[in-house]
Amino acid sequence: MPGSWPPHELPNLTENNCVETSPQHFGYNCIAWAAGDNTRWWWPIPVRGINYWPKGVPRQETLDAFALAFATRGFAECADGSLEAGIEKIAIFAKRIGISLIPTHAAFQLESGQWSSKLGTFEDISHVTLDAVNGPLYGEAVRFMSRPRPAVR
Amino acid sequence: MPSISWVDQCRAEAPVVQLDHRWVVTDDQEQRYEYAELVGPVQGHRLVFSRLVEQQHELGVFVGTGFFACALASPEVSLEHRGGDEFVFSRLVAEWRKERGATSSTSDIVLCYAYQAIIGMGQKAVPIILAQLESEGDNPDQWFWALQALTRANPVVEEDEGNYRKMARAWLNWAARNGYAW
Repeated sequence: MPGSWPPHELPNLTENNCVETSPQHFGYNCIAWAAGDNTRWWWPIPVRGINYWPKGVPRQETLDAFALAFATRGFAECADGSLEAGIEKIAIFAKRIGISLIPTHAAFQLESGQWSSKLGTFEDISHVTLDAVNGPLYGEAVRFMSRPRPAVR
Repeated sequence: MPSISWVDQCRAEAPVVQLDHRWVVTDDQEQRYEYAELVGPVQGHRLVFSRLVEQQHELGVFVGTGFFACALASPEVSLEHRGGDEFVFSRLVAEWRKERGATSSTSDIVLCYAYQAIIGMGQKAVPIILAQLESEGDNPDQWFWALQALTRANPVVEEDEGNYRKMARAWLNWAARNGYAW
């Protein structure tokens, strides 16, 4: 296994389908990383003074709130994660708990068509397919968003 | 600390237990070590004991591997011993980082049992957390929830929310201004 994350949480990641792209860091998470921010931890908890969450977006762990958070960075909902020239896509992952889908993770698509994820407090990786990070921790990709690919992230 | 006059070094997976006013540990080779008094845990895989030699207490260090989880679970190795709070904290930090795994959810991260146990240590945890935060330098971990819960303060300005490096600086400055020593 290429990184230091617990393998049982991400059982589909192997040396053959992912590459570590930056070392472990506590200071940002997957949501920030997908939004293009590697300086802050994004998460919508109601207590102030803990995390970043875009102003005006409900501090709720719902897919709609996460989509609104990404919308503040220019993303709009799209159909799927297929590669399109000049378009940057993100995938929002969720896990079913009872009747709710709870957001757990986000990844963004590289120009190559592969995906990039920050794994909690662990490393950033690039992974060949989205389902490489499917599993008991993140569930699966349930919503896609896109924006014009920026010259610099 | 007074001078150390002996060192016992072994591999011991068994717990350190208190029997009839003696501290006893048996290593993996069935060698039995007995001590008079537990003085306290110190950094690393070490416990400081005294041993009675001709009615005199001589301090020494028991150096082992693998016994710490057992020692922590043993109520006899209790928190009131010198160095105990830092010892327990360091164990809980290790447990917390293992328990939280690769989640990005702050809710899940702070609801980990070990993190809650750190908050449960109460006010004595505050200087230990501050020392930990300072020691982490430019890559601070998520101590802010615990600090807020314990102090009921929030010195982080809105524009720095989520930037842990700036938040750590704000907390350390606030703590210094408010008389905390760590």
